[in-house]
Amino acid sequence: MNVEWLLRLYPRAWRALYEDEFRAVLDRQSPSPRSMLDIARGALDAHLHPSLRTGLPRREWRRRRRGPAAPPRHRRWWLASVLTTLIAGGCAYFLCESRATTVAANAPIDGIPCQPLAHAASRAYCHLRLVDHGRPVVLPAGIGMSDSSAILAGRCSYGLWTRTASNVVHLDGPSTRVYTLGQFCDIWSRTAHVDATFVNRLRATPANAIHVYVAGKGVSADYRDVILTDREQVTIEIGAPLRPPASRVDGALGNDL
Amino acid sequence: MMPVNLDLSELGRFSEPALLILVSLAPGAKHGYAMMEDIKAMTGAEMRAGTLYAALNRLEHHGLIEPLPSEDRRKPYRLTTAGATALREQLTNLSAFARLGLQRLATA
Repeated sequence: MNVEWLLRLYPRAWRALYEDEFRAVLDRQSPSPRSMLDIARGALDAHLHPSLRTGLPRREWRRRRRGPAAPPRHRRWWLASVLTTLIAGGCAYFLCESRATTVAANAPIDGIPCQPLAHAASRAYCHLRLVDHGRPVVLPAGIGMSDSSAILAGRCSYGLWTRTASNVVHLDGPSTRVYTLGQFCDIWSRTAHVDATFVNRLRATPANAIHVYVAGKGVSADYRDVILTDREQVTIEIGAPLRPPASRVDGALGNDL
Repeated sequence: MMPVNLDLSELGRFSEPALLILVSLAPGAKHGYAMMEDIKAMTGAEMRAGTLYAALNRLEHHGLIEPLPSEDRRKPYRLTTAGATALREQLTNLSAFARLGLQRLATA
């Protein structure tokens, strides 16, 4: 039986696997139209099923086709459980951490609580003038305000705070409460969302390079002990040249109120 | 020809030739032409080369048979353990089906 042209109908990969033995079988058969048709159908089948041409067991063929073997099902479940636990744990950790940070940020500072924001008008104001080596520094807005308008539910403010960048410090809370400049600096430095450059420099500056004035008069005491009172002007100067205040601030403190 | 058992239905139209090949290999390894002769002797029907090798290809792919080293140009095949198990299940099911059919005929 002349099978050369019939064998060529098969894919090359299939012939590499079966050609020799296939020839041996065909050599012992008498040719018939039905045999030739059967071979042609076999060749078509081999073309339609490429996975069968590899000569590999199905499991091995699938493994090679998909690349590295997938882990057994029980291992996949185990891995999925571990990954789920890690992801859930990570989310829980960050949620707790975020909440803890909020709580810590809103914790009392120097005995001054952070209270719900309800400042229609403050009970007192003072003007805090800052000078850093002869250059005036403006107090940043939002000192003493709990962070971020995004967390409105947890928003609060301390008794010492600033509304705008205008050097006006609001004094709130019980009328009997006495506030000091040291407390204000502590609240400023712990208000995470404002620029604390000046207060940090103030803390790092030697006492003899810090000059404090209250109502235009120099104060020899530690700046931290200076009491903030209504309508008072307090000046803090770091380094030289000195630019002492001209006079006390009387009357209005501007549009900040 | 024997009816097709569903356990080999994955082989499609080659499930019946596959069952015949498994039965042919049950006593021991055979090469292609010996299988054709054996199947013809068992059933009286001729299995042609195109069908035989398409079925052999599938059985090997499913791990039910495995080739042995070639002898001259001829390559013998034998049942694997999985192949023997599959064949036993097939024949058991067919036997149960045959008994049921004969019982129904007897009561008709």
